[in-house]
Amino acid sequence: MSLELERLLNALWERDYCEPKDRARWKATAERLIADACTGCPGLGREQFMDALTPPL
Amino acid sequence: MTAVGFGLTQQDDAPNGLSFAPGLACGPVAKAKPLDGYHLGGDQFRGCAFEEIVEMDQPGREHRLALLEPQAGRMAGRGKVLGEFGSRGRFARIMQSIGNSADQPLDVEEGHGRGCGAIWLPKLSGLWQFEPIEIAIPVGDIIGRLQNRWLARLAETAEEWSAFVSILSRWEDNNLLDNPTPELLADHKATVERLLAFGSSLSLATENRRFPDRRVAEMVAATQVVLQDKLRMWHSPRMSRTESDRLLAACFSDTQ
Repeated sequence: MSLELERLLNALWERDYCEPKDRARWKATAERLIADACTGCPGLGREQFMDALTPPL
Repeated sequence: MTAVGFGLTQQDDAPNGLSFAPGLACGPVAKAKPLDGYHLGGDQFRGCAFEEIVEMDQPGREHRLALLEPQAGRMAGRGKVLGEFGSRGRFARIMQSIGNSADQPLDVEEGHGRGCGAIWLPKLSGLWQFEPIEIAIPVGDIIGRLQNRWLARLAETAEEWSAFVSILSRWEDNNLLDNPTPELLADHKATVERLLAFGSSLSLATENRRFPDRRVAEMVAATQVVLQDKLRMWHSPRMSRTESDRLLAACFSDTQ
């Protein structure tokens, strides 16, 4: 797995499981990593990117 | 006529013919305490809860009224500012009309310690009388107190709401990852939507540019994003693995 992808998944996990006081910080980290990732794919939006992260059933 | 003013009234059955309004003691030797918001003869003095007021009898026609106030605030009476407290809880000055006499400032001696001051009161016609004067808008610090109380409760509520997201995430791990039943998915969707709706109510307050607690505002905004992602992740059509792999490979050049 890509190191950047791993960092992003970790940030998303922390964002979802952390204490409320830390949620904004983890959300900001995750959003920055999402934005960085989307930069490599012109035209790719956040929602589509998040869909790609979601494990297929 | 019933004399009012700093809660002083005269009654036949009271000690020395005087009775004490909450938070204020009047009389040759008197103490009273405490109060939190008080009414004086229909007037309401706000933003200043006298912790203790001691009136000391003095020779002649004057009496010294010591005012002890637990925290800095602003005292307003009917129609005009009666007093202001300094930033460190001491009287800065006080303006007061006495009885029917002309408006005249009353000097307040700055006392020692927190919110402490003293004023000298003339004794009028044998009756200590502070005639209520025309009123200003009776707001004072009431709004401040209400706002602080509301902010505290909103912060507490928002934190509890946000904490539930973590509980929900663990529930998802235990119940939705492995062939979830339609009932579980429906329950989950309804719960997330309720949480989102509640978050929208919180956001109405926290997204206002005047909302003072940025920490709470950011927590609410972040929690809403998490919930929106959950709704999409669990209840929208899934992307195929092929498409997902293609996109992730394009986004992460070091994907192995």
